[in-house]
Amino acid sequence: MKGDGRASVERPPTYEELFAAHGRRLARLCRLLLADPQESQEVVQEVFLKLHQAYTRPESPEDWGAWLTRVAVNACHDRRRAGWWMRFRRYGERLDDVTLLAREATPEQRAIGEETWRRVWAAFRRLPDRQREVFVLRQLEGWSTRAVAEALGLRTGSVKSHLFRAIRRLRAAASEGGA
Amino acid sequence: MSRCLSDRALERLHAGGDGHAQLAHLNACAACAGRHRGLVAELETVSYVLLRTDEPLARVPVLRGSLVSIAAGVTAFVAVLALWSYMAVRPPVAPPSRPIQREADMTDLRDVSLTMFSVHGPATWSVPDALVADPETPAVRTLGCEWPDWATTAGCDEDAHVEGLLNLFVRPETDG
Repeated sequence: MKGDGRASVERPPTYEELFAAHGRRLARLCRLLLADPQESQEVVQEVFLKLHQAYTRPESPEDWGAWLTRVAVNACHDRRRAGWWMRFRRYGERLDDVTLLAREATPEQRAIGEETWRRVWAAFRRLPDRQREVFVLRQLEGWSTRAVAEALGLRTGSVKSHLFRAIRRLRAAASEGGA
Repeated sequence: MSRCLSDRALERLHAGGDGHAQLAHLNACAACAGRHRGLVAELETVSYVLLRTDEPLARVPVLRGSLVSIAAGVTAFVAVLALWSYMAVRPPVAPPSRPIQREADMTDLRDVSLTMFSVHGPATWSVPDALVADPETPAVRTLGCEWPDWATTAGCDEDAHVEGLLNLFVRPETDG
């Protein structure tokens, strides 16, 4: 598991250090899981509010990075379940049904090819929620299968199965018509 | 295991699947190891895209948005139509029947009220001119009793006295 967020010295990390170490990462994580920039910002604020509350308690987690990630994933999960109607109206449409707005590609996008960039994002958004969560934690965050299972309340076999299906779909999108 | 691994088997292994024989083959077969490296490279591309690039902006199609509005409009129309048809088909509610006695009571009360309080109303009992000119008219005197002494006057009948007094007045003309 990555990102324990603890300073190298003995003292525990301060709140500001934790925010600096994990703020951008959690924003990215929530953005991947929710697809709504405004909603993901709200969730990140919620997570750091919980961090502030947890920070004052006597019993603190050993690994603040993993704790923050778990809280963020659960908060995103709750958001998705709570506002399904709003999301249906605003984001329910499948990406392949919508017109993607053309805009100037960044150097990174040009490096991988614009088509691949669009296909990968579209395939990622089409993934079921569980597959997306497992892929993000296992592949992008580098968590172990067991840690993902514990965080999401799944069996390790289910985690492997979700990851296999996500890999299959995303790989097909990345390689389709390209290289 | 001598046969090379399928793409599914490679992906399953990468996802953490337990295939000891397949893993042994992967370690021994250069071709499968090369394909596995390709799989890893593709997933690195995917990770790169998701972590380092912005998501393409999506525009909600006009038709999709309007479908929601159309559905809401149709639902409201059906609700209004159902309410209207319910109101139209519903049998009229008859007003509660008023007993005839009630009308007679009202007429009596009106007469009493006019009699007691009205000065110029048509239902007012009128006083004959002769009685106005001379209250000690012989008709009154023949009654034999005089208020308030009738109770002490010998031979005075109160009922007959009241009836006699009423007969002096002209009863109003009423419709019914």
